[in-house]
Amino acid sequence: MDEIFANAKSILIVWFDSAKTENLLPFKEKIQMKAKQAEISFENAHMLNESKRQSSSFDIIIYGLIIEQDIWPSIELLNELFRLLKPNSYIITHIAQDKEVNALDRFKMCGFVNCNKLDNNSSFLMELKDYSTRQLGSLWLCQKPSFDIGYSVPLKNIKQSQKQVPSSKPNNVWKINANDDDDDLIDTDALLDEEDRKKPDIKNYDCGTASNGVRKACKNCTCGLAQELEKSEYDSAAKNVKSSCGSCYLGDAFRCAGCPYRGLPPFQPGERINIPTMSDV
Amino acid sequence: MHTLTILYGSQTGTAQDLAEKFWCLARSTDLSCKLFALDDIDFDYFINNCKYVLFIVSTTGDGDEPDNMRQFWRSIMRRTLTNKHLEHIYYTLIGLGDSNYPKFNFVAKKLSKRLEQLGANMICNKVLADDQHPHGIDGSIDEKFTSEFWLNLSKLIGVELQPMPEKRLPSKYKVEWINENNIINSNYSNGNSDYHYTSSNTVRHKFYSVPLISNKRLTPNDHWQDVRLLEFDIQDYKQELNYHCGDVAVILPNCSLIHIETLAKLFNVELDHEFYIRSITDDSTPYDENRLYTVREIFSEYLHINQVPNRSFFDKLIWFSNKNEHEYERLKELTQRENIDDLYTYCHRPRRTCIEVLQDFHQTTSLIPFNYVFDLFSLIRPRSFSIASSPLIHLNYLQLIVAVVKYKTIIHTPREGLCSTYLSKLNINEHVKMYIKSSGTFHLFNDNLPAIMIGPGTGVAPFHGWILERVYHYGYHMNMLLFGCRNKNADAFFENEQNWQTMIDNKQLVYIAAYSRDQNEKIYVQHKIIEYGQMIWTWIHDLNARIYLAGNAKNMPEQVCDALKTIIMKYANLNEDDANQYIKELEKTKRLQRETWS
Repeated sequence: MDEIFANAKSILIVWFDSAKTENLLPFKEKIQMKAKQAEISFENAHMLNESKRQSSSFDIIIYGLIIEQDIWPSIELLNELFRLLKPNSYIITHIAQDKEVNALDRFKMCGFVNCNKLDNNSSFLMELKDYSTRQLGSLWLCQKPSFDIGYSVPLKNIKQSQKQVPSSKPNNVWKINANDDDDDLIDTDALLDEEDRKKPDIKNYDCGTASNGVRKACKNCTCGLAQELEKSEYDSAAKNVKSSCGSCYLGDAFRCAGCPYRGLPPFQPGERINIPTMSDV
Repeated sequence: MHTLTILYGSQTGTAQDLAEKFWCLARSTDLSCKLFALDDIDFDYFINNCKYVLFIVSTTGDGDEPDNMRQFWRSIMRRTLTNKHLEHIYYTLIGLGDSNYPKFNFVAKKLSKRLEQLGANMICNKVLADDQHPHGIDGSIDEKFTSEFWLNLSKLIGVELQPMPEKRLPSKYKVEWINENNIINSNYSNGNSDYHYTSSNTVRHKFYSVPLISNKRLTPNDHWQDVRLLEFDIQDYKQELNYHCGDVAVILPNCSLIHIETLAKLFNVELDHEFYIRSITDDSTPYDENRLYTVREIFSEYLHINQVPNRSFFDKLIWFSNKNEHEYERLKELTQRENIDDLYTYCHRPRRTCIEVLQDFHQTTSLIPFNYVFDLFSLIRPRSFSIASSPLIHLNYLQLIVAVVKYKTIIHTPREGLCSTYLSKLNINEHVKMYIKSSGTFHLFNDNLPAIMIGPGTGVAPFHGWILERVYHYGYHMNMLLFGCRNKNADAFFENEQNWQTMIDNKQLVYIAAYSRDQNEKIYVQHKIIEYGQMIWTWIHDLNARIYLAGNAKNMPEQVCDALKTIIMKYANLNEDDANQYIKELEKTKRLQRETWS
């Protein structure tokens, strides 16, 4: 059992509206302890069909363990869970003793094989079940068959293949065929958490004043500050048409903020320049 | 010898420019440095040979990866990779994004998560630059990242790295001039570093040259904005330029003659002078070593000479500046980190172009060897336009709607968009370089489910051809178009088209227009969505309509989604969370799609 968790790369925990939300995270952490390298996702059972996750994406699906009572998966739901599992991977659920025969039939009907009761080592998985449910039932592990030989590497072999990795000096070890099918790609949206989906707060960018305290419009100014600043610059320029700094002819890079020649190309010293009137910006 | 590998994924060239800047900085130290577009590096090579890697990736479209990293993306997202694969790699990452878009920097965020998952180690924390930062992406990157990056990298390799932006690096190319006595003059440079350069947009794609057959202004002459309907004859390339509604035409524009002439004067070269271009490395280039180029050709068809310069442009100008002159002092000021406001006020806000900057620094410019034009200017980037015609209705020709970008800033000469200006000035029978690509995000379904199309402004382009196709080719009559413009009499582009009116009269098209400026209060498409909420909801919910949204990316898409949310809450009686969930579901199942551009 521990090995299954240790090798898992992606785990789905199916929850229900009746689950207490405060239980979700601690439960996930507990799983994560056992499955250090796994990406653990949650999905509400009601949303499963609609969320259209990719086929064969999970190594383990944990069904119905974060609610106090057992809820039976419908055939439809079970089919969907079957689809989401990778070949040879597992679903774990809790089944009451008196429902065992019916329940296991249903699992088998949907194609699961190797249905086995789990031993006491796994009881951490049913800590959220209420006392009587726990007493009257047990945890079951069912496997999805490898329906196509060569479709996927059986879990057992993963350790083996990792051993071959010379991690110190990898030289031409990895041959990755870039032309494989889309089906073999991870769901990149699953890489992002809630924090990643947030956008930066533009207000933190300190618009309105520059580092030296001068009023300054931000890049895509829509509040009118940009025009106001440009206008006042231009007005002050128009008032001081006479200039004595001697840099005017050099070009905007060297002109004062209020230079009457602002916006014109550089010219020869002494050349007579007509300042065009500014039309509407 | 340690090697830093810089890998970039760039759609509009910003990430590439930044990557080149870091490449220059690395080359100014003793570090060996390689630069690749992500798709130009073999994935096996990347895994087996790279140790220190700087990723610079932008996010484009609807949270998508740039075209020139698609292959890499597919390779690294493969399920079969394990957490050991990259454990020998040290990386850091710069993400370029724009918080105007909902999926801000998603590519960078996903990539860094994935690299971590595969065991890669960090050189220093990644940075997610935001174009909305008052100082643009430079503003986010400068503050902490650069110093941390070089410091940590120094520690890792045990060699102190002190990048010197002022150190003049060899040019990417040398130029061999031709006159009557054959080659007379060469600008030799000593290359000491590998340079892998492909502008995946220009090199990879073959452009087809097609003639313009009509260029019609859609707005009245007294209207402030010039919007054009351009028609191209594509029958010579029926196969190559075969397209579907929703596809995009990619156009390679030229720089205009007046700018070419100004620049040639500044560099003191003749427009018709011919030369060979030799790359200093064996790497791929857009230039053919065996043919002669003219200055005119390079300035008009290859280099984007009137772009707004970025920081690295000034960093390079310093290389040539005479240390005793006022120009040198000023360039130093402008490139200093603390003075980014200054640079911003000088260049960015007034949209000052490279040529205008070179005019201001004409003494420095006169000292720049001509072959450095290939280092100073980036390649002209092709621009994409949603195709406005239908291949089934407009046989043998292709239409584009182009809003000409022209505005004024504090600089007296008006600012002009490169591609829209180029297109608007084209004469009949002039040829344009073009290829077709599928939009990537937009998939117009050709079935008889109702279509709700929301396309304010030039966002109407992809729907123009598609509606005609749906009505007259397929016979689908459930079409709704929400269009928005300023005035009914100025920029309601297609209202006067005969077909358009017939479809409306025959109830084959429900046409709802928002004229924002025809009354005191502004009315936009989002207001119309709420006004016609009952009908739109019925189409969505009872008739399984699909919703397509196209147009300017700035505020419109979010406001339209808010309006959709409002009607969903109202007519489905859902709370806000559930309405959001409903919209998410629509998007997931492709029943709500958007194609937006800025």
